Amino acid sequence: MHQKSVAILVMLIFLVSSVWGGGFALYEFGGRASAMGGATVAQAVDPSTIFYNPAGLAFLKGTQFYGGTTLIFPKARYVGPEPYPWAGEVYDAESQVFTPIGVYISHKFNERLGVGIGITNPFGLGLKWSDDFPGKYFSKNSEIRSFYISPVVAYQISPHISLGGGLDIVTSQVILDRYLLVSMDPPNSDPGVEVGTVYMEGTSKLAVGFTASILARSERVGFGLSYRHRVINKFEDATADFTIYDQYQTLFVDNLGLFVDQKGSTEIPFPGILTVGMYFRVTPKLGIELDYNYYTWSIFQELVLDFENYRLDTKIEEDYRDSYTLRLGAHYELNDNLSLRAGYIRDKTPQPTYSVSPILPDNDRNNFSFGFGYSTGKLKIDAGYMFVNFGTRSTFENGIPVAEFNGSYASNASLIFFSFGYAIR
Amino acid sequence: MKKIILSTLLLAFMFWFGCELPTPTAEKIPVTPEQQQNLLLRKVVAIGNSLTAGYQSSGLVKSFQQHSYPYLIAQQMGIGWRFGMPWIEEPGIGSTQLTDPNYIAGPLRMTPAGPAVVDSTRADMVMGLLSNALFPRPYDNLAVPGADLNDVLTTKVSQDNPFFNIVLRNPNLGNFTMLEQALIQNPSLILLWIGNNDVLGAAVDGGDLTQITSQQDFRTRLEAILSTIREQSSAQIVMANIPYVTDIPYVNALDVIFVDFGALGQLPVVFDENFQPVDFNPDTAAVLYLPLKMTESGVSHVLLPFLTAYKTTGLGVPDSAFIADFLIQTGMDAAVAAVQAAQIVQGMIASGLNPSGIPIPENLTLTADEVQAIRDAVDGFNSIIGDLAQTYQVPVVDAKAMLQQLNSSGIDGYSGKYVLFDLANTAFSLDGVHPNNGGYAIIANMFIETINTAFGQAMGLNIPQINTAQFQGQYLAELQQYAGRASLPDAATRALEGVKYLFVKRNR
Repeated sequence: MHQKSVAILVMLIFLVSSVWGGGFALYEFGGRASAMGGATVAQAVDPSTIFYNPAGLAFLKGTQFYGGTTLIFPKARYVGPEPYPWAGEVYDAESQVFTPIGVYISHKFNERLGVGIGITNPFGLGLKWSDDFPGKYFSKNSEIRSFYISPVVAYQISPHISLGGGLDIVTSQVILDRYLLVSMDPPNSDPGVEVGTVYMEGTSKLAVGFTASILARSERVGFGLSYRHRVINKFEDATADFTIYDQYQTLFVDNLGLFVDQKGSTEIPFPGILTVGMYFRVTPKLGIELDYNYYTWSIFQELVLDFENYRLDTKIEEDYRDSYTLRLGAHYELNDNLSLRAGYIRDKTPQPTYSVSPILPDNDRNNFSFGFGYSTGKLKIDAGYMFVNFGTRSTFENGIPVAEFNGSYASNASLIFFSFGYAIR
Repeated sequence: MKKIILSTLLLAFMFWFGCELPTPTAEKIPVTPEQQQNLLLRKVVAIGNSLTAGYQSSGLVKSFQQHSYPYLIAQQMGIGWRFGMPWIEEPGIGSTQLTDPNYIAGPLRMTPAGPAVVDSTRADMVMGLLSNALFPRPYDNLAVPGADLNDVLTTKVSQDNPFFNIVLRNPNLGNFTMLEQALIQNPSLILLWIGNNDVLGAAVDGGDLTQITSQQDFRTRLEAILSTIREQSSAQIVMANIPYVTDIPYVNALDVIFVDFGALGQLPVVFDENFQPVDFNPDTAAVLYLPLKMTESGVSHVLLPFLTAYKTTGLGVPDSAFIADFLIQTGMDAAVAAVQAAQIVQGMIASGLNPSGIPIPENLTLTADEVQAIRDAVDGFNSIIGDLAQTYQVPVVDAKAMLQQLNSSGIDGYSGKYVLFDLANTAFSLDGVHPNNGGYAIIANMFIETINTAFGQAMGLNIPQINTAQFQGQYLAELQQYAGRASLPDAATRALEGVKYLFVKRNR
C-alpha cells in the first residue's frame, strides 16, 4: 500500500521570559564602600573610586593597589499558585556562590593628575533550579558574567574639585539552560510535552562605554556626581545545543529539522547609571553619606533571540522601567587603625510584575551592611557583610496572574566582602 | 581588634541564619467554571480498537466515524469541533476479502437481499480516502481497528492492516506508537477501551484458543499502558472492560436454530428462511427436526458467517446417509430409515435446500468447552482491569454488563438481536460484532455517566446524555438507499465472515 506523504506542521511553544535584569546589577566592588552600603561617591578613600567615582583618583596619593572579592550566596524559593497547576508546592533554588571581583591600581602623576585602571564584574549573577522545578522550561540554570576593564584619568581643577572619566571595555558571557516544551495543539495541549533541553551560551563582542564624574570635597563636606554610560552587549555567535529525547528525534530533528544545534544572536543592554551623593563629617570620627543611583533600565524594552532556524526566533517584551537606589552609609573611626562601618540600601526594581520569571525574580530590596577596616602602615584590610532582602514577590496583580509563568517568589542573599589595600609608594 | 572581628562575624551569622528565606503564601488563581471544566476537557484523546474507532458493518467510513463514541462524547462536551478524527471518505474501508486483491471492499450495507458489500476501492487508492491526511498533529481518536494491547504499546506501521498506517501515519508523523501519539499531545482525559481483540479472534475464528493473550501478558501490557500514562502525563483515564463474546450476534444470532434432542443435547437443525426449524415428519403430529452436519461435537453456537454458506452452498445440510443414520439413532428400522431419508432429501431439494452433506467446519462453531475457555479468559481480563483500575485510580465503564442488559431486556428500546431478527431496533451493526449508531450512542452515554460520576463534582461538570432515540431506524433508511444495489459478485459468499479478518491474528 502506498504511503501518502504527510506534511506535519507542529506548533512550538518555545518558552521564554525576561532575561537578565535589574537583579543582576552589582555595586559591591570595594570592602569599605560595600560595608557603607555603597554610599561612597563623595569620598574617594581608596582606589575603588575608579569604579565609584573616577574623579576621586585626583585625591589619592602615590601608587596604590586595592583589590578584593565579594562572596555572594543567593537563595530563592518558589511557591506555585493554587489550585493548580502546582498547588502550593515549594521549590528552592540550588545553592551557589558567585565571586565578582574589584581590583584596582592607581597612580598620582603630580599634584593634579591621577590615573588608574580597574577590573570589575558589575553584572554577574545566576540562579539554578532543580530538575523538578515547574519553571524549568523558562530557566533551569541561568548565569551572566561581565568583565569591565576601566582605564580612567582624573584632574584637579582646583584644590577641592576634580574631574574624572575613562573608558569601560566590556565583554560578557551568558548561559541559559532550560527544558524544552512542545505543544502539538496549542492552546489545547498547553503546556505541551517535554522533549529535551537546550543549552544556550554566548560571549559578547568587546563593547566600549565611558564614565565621567566630578568630586568636590573639603575637610567636612563632599559632593560627588558620577555617570557611567550604557553598554550594548552584542552576542553574534551564541550557540544553542539541543538534547532531544530519543523518542522525539525522528519527528523534531529528522522530519522537521527543528532543534538542531545552531548559532544565534541577541543583544543585551547594561543600563547607564547616574550617581549623586553628599558626604558629611559629622565629628572628627564619624562620617555619613547619602547617595542616589538612577538606572536607565528603560532601554531594555525587548529581547530578540535570532536563530539560524527562523522558527525558533523569539521576541520577548521586557518593558523595563528606569529604577533608582538610595544608599545611606556611615563610618566611625575607633582609633588610628580601626574603623567601623554600616549602611542601608533601598533598591527599587526595574522589573514590572509581568516580567518576573524564574531566571531572576527581582523585587524592591532593603539591604543592611556592616563591616570594619584595619590599617597599619602601608597595608589595609576592609571586610564586611551585607544582607540583601528581596522579600517576597508574586506574579499576581489584584489577584490576577500576569506573567507567563506564575507563582510567588521569595529570595535573599548574603554577601561577604573583603579587600586588601597596599600603598606601593 | 579581635573583639571587633568576632562581633562582626557574629552579627553576620545572625543575619545569615536568622533571616530564613520566608515561604510566600501560595497565590489563589481565580478559576472560572469554564477553566475548571477545561482541566478535564482541554485535550481529550481516545485509545482503542475498532469499537473506539467507530467501526460498523465490517468497515470504517466517515458516516460511521461520526458515531464513534469518542466523537459523540466530544460533541456532548462541546469540543467536537476540535476533536481530530482520521476521516475516511466514501465508500470507506471494509475488511471483507475480495477475490481480486487489487480491490478493497467497502463496509457491509443493508440491501433487500440482506447485508452485502456494494462498493470497493482500488487498493492503491485506499490511502487517498483519508481526507485529512495532512492534519497537522496526531488525531485525537487514535483507535486502530484490529489493535490489541500489544499494538497500543509497540505497533508503528503494519504491512497487512491498513488502519495502522491511516491512523498513525508513520513514519511521517515521527514513528510514534498509538500510546505515544496520545501522550505527545499532553492529554487531559484519555478514553481507553482495549483488550477486546486479545480474546475476540479466538471466538470469531471458531474457538482457536491459541489466539487468546495469556493472563500474564494481558496484565503486563495493560499495566505498561496505565503506568506510562501516569508517568508521562497528568491525564485522567476512563477505561471500559470486556464483554462476553457470547453476547454478540456473531456468536449468538443463530442460537435460534438449536433444538433440544433430549439425550443428544441441544443441536442446530435444518431451518427455513424465517429461521424456523423445518419439520420433516410428513404425516404424524410428532415433529422431526434434522440436525446439521458438523465437524465438532458439543457445539453450543454456530457463527454468523455460516448463514451465507448455508444458503449458497448448503453447508451443514445433511445428505441422505447422515439423515438415515440419524433416523436409526432415533429408533427407526434401518430399511425404513433409508427410504425415508431419500424422501427427505427429495423434499429438501424441492424446497430449495442443498443437502450437500458437507459438515460445518470447526472454525464456524463454538463448543461449550471453547465458550467456557473464552469466558474464563474474559473473566480473567476483567478482573485484571478491575485490579489495575484500582491501583491506578481509573473509573471503569462496565461494557460487559451493558451488553448483557442489551441482550436480556434491551436498552432505550434497542435490542441485542441481529439485524435479520430485529431490523428496526437492533443496536448491532450488520457484521454482528460491532454496535451501530444507536449502539455507539448507548456506549457513549455509559462513558458520559462514568465521567460525570468520577469527575463531575470536582470539575463542576455535567456532560449531557445523548438522546439515543434519534438513531433509530438506521437500517430502514439503508434498505431504501441501497434498494437497487446488488452485492459485489465476489463478496457475496464472504460478506458475513468479513469482520473476522479484522481480529484473526496475522503476522504483523
